Amino acid sequence: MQTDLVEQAMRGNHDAFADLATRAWAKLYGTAGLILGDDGYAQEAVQAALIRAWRDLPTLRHPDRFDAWLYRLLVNACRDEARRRQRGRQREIGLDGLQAAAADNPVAWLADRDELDRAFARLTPDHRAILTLIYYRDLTVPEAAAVIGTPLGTAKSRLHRALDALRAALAAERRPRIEQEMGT
Amino acid sequence: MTGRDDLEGRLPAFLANRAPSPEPGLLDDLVRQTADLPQRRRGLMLASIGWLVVGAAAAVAVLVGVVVFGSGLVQTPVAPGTHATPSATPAPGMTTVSLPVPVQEKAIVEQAEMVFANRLKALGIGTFTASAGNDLRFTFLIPPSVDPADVDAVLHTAGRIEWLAWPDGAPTPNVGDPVPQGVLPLFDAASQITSVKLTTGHTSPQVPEVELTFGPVATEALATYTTSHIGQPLPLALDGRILTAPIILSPLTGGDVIITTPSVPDAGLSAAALAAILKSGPVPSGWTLP
Repeated sequence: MQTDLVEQAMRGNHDAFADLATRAWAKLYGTAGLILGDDGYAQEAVQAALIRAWRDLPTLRHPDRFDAWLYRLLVNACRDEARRRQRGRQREIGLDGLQAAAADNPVAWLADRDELDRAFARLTPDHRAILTLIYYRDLTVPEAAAVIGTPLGTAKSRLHRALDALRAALAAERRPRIEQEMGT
Repeated sequence: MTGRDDLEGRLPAFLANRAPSPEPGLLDDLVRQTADLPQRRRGLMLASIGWLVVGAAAAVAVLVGVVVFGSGLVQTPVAPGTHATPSATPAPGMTTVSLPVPVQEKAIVEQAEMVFANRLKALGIGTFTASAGNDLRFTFLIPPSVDPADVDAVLHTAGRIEWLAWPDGAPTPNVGDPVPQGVLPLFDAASQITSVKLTTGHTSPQVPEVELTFGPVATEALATYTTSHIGQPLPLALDGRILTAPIILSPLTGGDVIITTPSVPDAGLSAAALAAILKSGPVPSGWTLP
């Protein structure tokens, strides 16, 4: 069924493309939001991915792999968006990722003090991407490797490093509180 | 202490809760945007190739006969333009045009493709494709209702328009002349044109006009400049050449400008073509007009 829609969209049927986009939309947005940590940037990335998808659909070689191809476009769009954020941050005030997130939305940031949330925000976009694809999109590691465009071994090691980085970030989140308790 | 299994076990629920949900209606907006975009043809080498429309740079020698600023109406001379003639293969009711396109940088080509697709669409041409086989081409169908001269004009005009602060005491600007060095625009027109309409009726029911609305920066700049330069020219330039040079009769404070082009056989740029160009914006810098 989806392959039929993909083939129609490849032939220029925009209604078929709109149907495909509607089916994928919520998960695309959620994935971009997790990777980028910002709803506005997520919207930009999804928009870029959908535009690219429509334009390049006729070049898709395997219509049955549309989902993986679409998520690859999305992850690439997220990388581009993250790079723009990085450049902007360096030009402005040189905040680290944690502080930048707080500066973007201080009220929401102060309200949300869950340590895992903050630890996840400390990860690099590449680490957030592999964790999101595996634990949010429920992809297998080989499927995630295809989406992010790396060999299987690279995807495995990136997943391992991402989990280690998340543990380290969790530990870092706890450290100030422990030190504060010891000091009082 | 958070162990490996504990952390990995917490992640699915954590990410599901943390993932944002899109606002209703947002998807419709995004999908609608893609409806206006052309699709690529299979086999196109995106990473290393580009396209360039073919035509004559002399087509930039466009003309505008009358410019209306508010209540002021000033006649200016008209210069002839030239047209490149694309190779065309007749089709039932339509003219098929396939323009060979030289290689350019990918990013520039992608931006230019969007600009040209929008310009042609504004003229009433909906079937525009960029394709590659042994060479690169823009291909589209011209319906009988569209003037081929308009197509020619929008393909061969970069589209950089400027309202010039003409120096006091400088010679009167002539239509078709290049903009002298050191003469600067009053504002960035590309970012300050907020609306472009193809209309009729301000000067004559039969004469097509381009009605422009400006943003606040341009509105203020025009008001300030024209208030202190009554009786002086306010040249309008397109792609570095004077398009028309009306004399300021009264301050322009409304933020709207109406440009009227003449209906003469050798006109290089009709109101329809000018409106299509201004609606779509200029081609990207770096795009080479042949």
